Amino acid sequence: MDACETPVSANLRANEEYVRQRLNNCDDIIIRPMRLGEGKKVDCLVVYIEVAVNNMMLEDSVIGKLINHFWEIPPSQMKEFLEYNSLGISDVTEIPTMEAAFKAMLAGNAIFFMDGFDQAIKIASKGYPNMGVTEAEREKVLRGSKEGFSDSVKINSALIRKRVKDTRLKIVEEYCGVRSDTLMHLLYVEDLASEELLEEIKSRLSSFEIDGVMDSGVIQQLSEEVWYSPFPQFQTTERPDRAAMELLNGRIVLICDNSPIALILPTTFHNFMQVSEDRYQHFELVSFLRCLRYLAMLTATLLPGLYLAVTRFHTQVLPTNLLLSFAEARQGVPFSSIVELVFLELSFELIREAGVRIPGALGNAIGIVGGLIIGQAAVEANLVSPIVVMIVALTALGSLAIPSEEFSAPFRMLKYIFIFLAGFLGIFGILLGIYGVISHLAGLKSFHIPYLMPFVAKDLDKKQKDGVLRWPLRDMKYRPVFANKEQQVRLRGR
Amino acid sequence: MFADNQRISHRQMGRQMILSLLVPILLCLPGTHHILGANGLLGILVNFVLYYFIIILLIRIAPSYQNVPKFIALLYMIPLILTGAYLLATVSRLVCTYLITGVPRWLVGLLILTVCATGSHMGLEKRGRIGEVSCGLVLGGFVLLYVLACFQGNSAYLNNPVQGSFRWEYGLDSTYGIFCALSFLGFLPFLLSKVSKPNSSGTPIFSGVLILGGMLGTALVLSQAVFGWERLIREQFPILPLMAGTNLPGDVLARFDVLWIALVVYGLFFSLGSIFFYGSHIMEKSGLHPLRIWLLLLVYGAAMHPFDRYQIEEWFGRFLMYGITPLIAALTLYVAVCCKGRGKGGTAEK
Repeated sequence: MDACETPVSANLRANEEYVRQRLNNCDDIIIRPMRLGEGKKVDCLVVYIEVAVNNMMLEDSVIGKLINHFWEIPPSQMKEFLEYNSLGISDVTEIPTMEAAFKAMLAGNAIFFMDGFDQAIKIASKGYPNMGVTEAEREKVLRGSKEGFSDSVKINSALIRKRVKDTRLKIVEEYCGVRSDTLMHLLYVEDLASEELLEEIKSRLSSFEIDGVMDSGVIQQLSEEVWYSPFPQFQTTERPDRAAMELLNGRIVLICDNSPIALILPTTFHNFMQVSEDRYQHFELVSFLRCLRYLAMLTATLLPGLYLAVTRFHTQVLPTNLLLSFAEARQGVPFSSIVELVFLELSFELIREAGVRIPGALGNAIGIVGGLIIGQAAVEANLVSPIVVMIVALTALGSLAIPSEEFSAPFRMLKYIFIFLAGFLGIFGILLGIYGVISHLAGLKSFHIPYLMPFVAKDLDKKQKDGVLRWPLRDMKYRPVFANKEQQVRLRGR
Repeated sequence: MFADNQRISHRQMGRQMILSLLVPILLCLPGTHHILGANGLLGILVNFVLYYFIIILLIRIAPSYQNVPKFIALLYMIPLILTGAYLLATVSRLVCTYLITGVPRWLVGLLILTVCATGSHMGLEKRGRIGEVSCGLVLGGFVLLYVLACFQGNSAYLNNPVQGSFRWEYGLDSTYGIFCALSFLGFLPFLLSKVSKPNSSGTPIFSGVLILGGMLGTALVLSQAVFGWERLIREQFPILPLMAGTNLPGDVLARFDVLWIALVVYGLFFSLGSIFFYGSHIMEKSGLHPLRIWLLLLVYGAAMHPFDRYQIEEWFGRFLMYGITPLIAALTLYVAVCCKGRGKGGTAEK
């Protein structure tokens, strides 16, 4: 016990006074004194958050059973009854300090005090209301489970446990946020995850102190090595099957309470181009789709820039017919091609942002109708040329084809840099940009793993057959570099 | 940490070396100092033998480079500054001629300098990774160029015994020219302490030399087959018109020499970045890192400012042969003989 902590007193009045003082003006918290025991001679106190605890008088709730039972036993046996958990209640814990008792109560449990007993009793309850298990919204797949994470950390951990039924799957509780006291679960498979990696993650989590953590995104931003990089250094998922699969790859999953997004670490550039159904589909299709995604990434970043470079500086590259049709399409457009392109790109970003914020089907409608109407109207009003509408549409498709929304964001932003570089310097500008981006990516690491793996440091990961092209599953016998060296083999036989 | 890449692998070192030297060699060597036709091929073959032994020597003396004296480090800066200036001048001129007109060369040079120098002090691992990612692309691009150029070649140009015929003095000249271009391998011992298994790094280095020689030899044969001797000897950079003539099937693009030139420029960016990296690394090792900014300023100044009305591109080749290469050789010998044992002190990297 910490020296500055207040111990639970054996005197119930002292405990009640302390509780009432601390919980002054907390009207959502119920402080219920009661007399229990045979003949109702023992003073007791139950403290709980109203909506977070089951009706304590009902027989089917844990606390209800306990209280009902206390009415039947003599006062002399109550202490012993509690000490030995005679009711066999699954989650009843003795708590020695008031601070720990408040913490347990605020986590959604009921706290039971009894006169003459210098421990508080935590009685687990249903906890706070939550949405429950819902369908994964952002990571839709054609094949595989439809389950998505909920906003309760315990449900999320259970969804993973459901898939990895192994006692070597460890779930460590950590708390973050001085005021929010947010519960986090650190999940790893004991013999697969690296001990050093685990220590590193714990040390990063304890390296900062913040008032509140409302989502895993806060943890992500505060723990990243290169804080200024637009490229995400943590992978996120809302799919339990993905998280479970990555645990078996030796990676570590961090789930934060109140967030349906789990963090997976360490991560690499290539991880963001993979989707969970890559494992469920045949290797030819997966390889084809991955090539397509890389092409989409290049399109999302470079296509507008290349268009500008070719039409403004290097017209000799295009066949004459194509060049003439470009020129014809631009007839009557009063703006330069850079302004034209930036205008339409920004319009698209506006539609996209509006579509995300507007709820339900209306959002999709805004996206489609807005795109069609604005594009059509802009062409008819001679504000933009049809070819630019096509370029912007292809770019948008490219960015949407990148599986991870957070990973497509840096490419969406880089696109504007490439537009300006190419608009003013042509291919030379694009080269400067590409060299800069590769140089930046080469310097990035996620928990000491080079971000560009498996394209770099191939000798560390030479047994991997899961690059842009995925080999047949029967040949993918080894785990990635994240896993412990002693546990590299994933598949035997075949 | 478990997979931390504190040292670079042989693969990364080899690719970095290839990418640093490939484009300057392909761009600048053919046509100069009789590095053409059979004379050039002889030069390549002789250099394979010479560098086989030189690489063994460099690996053996690498421990002496752990702690070179400051004046030696400063002397090593001379080749780096002048080569950096030459590369910056060449790439900025290429860009201004082939890629973008109307932008002043000083601005182009400044942009290139900024991009290539940014992050050059951030360690060998990063450099190794850029090399590993980019080398395949650049090398693959050149191989594709060669394949496409094959279709334009004329075997009669190769069979003509008079044009491009072999002469011993030209062969010697071309051998020395190639030797000088590869003399920058003399900087490798500075890095070998950070390469995993440095004592066995001879194979990847020599493989790199073989690849570079193979690429240069193919370029010599192809350029002669495509242009013929008469035109070849008039070209300053024969590889560039070779690019202009190639065409892709499908008629998607009318010309795509711009893409090849982009590949050349990208390769030169990496070479220039390597110059800044080596400069930074050597200065840091010798405690001269506050002078790093001077490296950039001197490179930029020498690239943009003519010496006695002569631009650096005009005199660098001669200076490389009679100034830089002897200097690198002398410094290598000095370090091998006089700095022996200095690296065994407490500062040696583990």
